[in-house]
Amino acid sequence: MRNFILSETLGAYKSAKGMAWISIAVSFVLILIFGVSLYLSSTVYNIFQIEKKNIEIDVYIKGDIPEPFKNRLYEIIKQFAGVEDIDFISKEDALKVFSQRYPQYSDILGVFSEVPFPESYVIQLTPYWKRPDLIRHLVTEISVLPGVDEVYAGSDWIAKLSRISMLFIGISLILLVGLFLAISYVIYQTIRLIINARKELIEILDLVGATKSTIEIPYLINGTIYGFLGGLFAAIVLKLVIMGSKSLFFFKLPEYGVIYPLLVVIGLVVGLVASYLSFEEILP
Amino acid sequence: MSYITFEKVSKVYQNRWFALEDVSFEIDKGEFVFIIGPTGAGKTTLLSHIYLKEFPSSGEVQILGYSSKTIKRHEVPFLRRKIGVIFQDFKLLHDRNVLKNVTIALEVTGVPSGVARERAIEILRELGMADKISKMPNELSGGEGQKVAIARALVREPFILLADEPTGNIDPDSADEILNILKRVNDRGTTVIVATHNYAFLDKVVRKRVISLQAGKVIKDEKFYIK
Repeated sequence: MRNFILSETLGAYKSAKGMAWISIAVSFVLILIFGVSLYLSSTVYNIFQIEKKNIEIDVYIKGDIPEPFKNRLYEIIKQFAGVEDIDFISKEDALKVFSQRYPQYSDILGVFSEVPFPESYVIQLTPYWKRPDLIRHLVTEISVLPGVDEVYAGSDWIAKLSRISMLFIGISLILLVGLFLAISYVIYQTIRLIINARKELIEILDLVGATKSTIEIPYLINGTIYGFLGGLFAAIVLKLVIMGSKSLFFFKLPEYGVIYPLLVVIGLVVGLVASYLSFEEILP
Repeated sequence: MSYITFEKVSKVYQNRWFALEDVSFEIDKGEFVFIIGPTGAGKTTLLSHIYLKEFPSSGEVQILGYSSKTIKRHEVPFLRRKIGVIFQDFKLLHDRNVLKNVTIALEVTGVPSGVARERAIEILRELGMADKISKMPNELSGGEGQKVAIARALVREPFILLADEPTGNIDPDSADEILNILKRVNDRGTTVIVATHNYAFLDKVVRKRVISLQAGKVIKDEKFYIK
């Protein structure tokens, strides 16, 4: 049986070789486009996740408030939902951080008689609260507290990044559906062509008592291989581009190992489904 | 118990064309049956109901314990493995040689290639085709082509052999040879059913039954046909 399946699979391929390679080429191009979109989505999403992890709220305190009042403010902020930890940053700490980040400007600070930076609280949030909408809500609540001069969270930037990330994911999903339909159509037509070219054989197999699955398997294998090869070639090209990114774009692109097998699996599944549908429609 | 039973079988196309009408008969093990009638009488349709390529519009066909009313789609191939069918146009595969045309009938049912090859060579030798096993179908004469088709039908040792106008495309000498092969197959106990419009054939088989069809109806069923 194995020999039969193998030889019929090969025979089916040979009966529409040109169309088979067109299917593979179309699958390759479409899966590659999807791969690039998926890669960009992953990159934006990763940046978003990293930024989200580092997100914190800076609460700048007015300079003239007495010490007990500061402690009271600390206690109030600590009670807010979503606050995981609070660090107090004195004027001196702020100066130290500034000097470390911008050493070229440290001389300028010498002209001031006292440290020009305000005292502040840096709030670390619980993971659930690292959402732009919740952060905005918290910022509004804290900024109206007495003794608070200004609150900065950078949540607008995170919100924008979140929107871009969602946009890319949305594009990838639309591409996935489009790609599924387009590849299915091409493989479907190829298998249809092969089945028509081998109708006589199928009729004889049916006559001599071959089961439906025995007749069907060579065509399913063909369709699956076309999709698989399209996915494999797309994965190889994407991998080569990312590997060679340093010499191509002068910076190293990050790598997401999971994308390559995913492209191959997508090709394989689309090929299998398309050839199955084709067979079921022509020879139900 | 009968191998084949037709019970009030009718086949209607497009709700008005009767290809078979109220056909009833039984065929036992080891019978040699001619289904005879003019073109369009329903001979091919009748044979198609035996290997369940077609199902009756009404009535019931029972073949080797399977019923057209209750058989499941996935059981049909298993019935067909017990029935050999040959056609006027041989239905050979032109992309493979004689041997492969025969072994395919075994390979699709899971018989190992080596065993299939051995059995196919044996049956081809029996039919006088041993020297033609590596020939392609287009290198064969009409008679030889039909012998390959018979070999493919017999290689699974069927209980029933159906022949639809088996000599329609071959010269008279080859036709006689094919008929002799069918008689030999029948002598070994296989039920043979030959559909033909050639009445001259009837004289060449001694012990036979003749079912005459006309416009889809059985007009005569002679168990011991005498001219």
